[in-house]
Amino acid sequence: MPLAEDIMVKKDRVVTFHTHDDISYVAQTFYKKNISGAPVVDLEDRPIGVVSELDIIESVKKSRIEKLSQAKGLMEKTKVSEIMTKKVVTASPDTSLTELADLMFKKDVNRIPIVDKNGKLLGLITRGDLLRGVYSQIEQR
Amino acid sequence: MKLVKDLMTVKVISFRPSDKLSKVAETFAKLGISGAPVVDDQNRVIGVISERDIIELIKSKSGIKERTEGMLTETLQFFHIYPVVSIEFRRTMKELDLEEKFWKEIEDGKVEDIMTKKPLTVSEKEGIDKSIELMVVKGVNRVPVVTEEGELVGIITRADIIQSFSQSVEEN
Repeated sequence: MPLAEDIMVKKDRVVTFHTHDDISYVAQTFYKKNISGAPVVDLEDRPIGVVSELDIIESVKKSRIEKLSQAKGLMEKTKVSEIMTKKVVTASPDTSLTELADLMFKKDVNRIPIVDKNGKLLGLITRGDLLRGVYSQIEQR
Repeated sequence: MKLVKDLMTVKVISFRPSDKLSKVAETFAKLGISGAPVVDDQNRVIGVISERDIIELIKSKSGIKERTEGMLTETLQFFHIYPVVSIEFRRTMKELDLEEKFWKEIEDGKVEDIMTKKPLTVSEKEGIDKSIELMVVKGVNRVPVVTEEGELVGIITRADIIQSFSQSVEEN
């Protein structure tokens, strides 16, 4: 039975943001890295939120700008802290695959930051990573 | 090993090849889905249409518009994020004339122009291992479930697989 630490993407390869980052930068990073969301961490690398594509879209829609060309300017002025989801579902490295699936399903999250005893980021598991974990289990049979 | 029929969703949204992309975009946005099978008039699966297909169309069309390239690059970066929602969003905004025509071209396009043809499918009697393999190896998010004649009977998605593993927690 694989554990979170076996499946997770390790923190050196995890894209994270800080509360003061502007969402134009976030959008461009999502685009370049082909991801749809990421954890927001404090200066001690502890996850304090999650920011996703949907948060960005909702934010721009709410602003009711009249011209598309205004979107970029607006996004440059908006900070991650204003749009992120503050409730983060995290898990410890020894969490089992089934427990992770349970969390994803019950809490309806797309990604789970994996943290150590001090709450510091060790890695990230997305739905895709979870599925890969399941797949490698099946392959081994 | 669970079977596809234990996990699949039976009430599956599908489109026809002649459906307009504007209908696809609205449906996706309203139902919160990102893809769906395309069926012929005998309900046989002939393709799959997804958000990604619409993104690719936007990217390929925007290559033509050199005059506003700078702005379109930004637009593209923005719209790459959620083209489905953005198509609805666009209607509430005043746009440049040129952009109106650009977006209209996208919206009036047909499912058959951009769908993935001859998609991977599974049968409901199979174990879910093949579905998982398709998702991991081929990177698909959903697999239509079909009869031997290719008729659509359901759909199995990544969320269904994850949910099944979640429920196995209670079984232990």
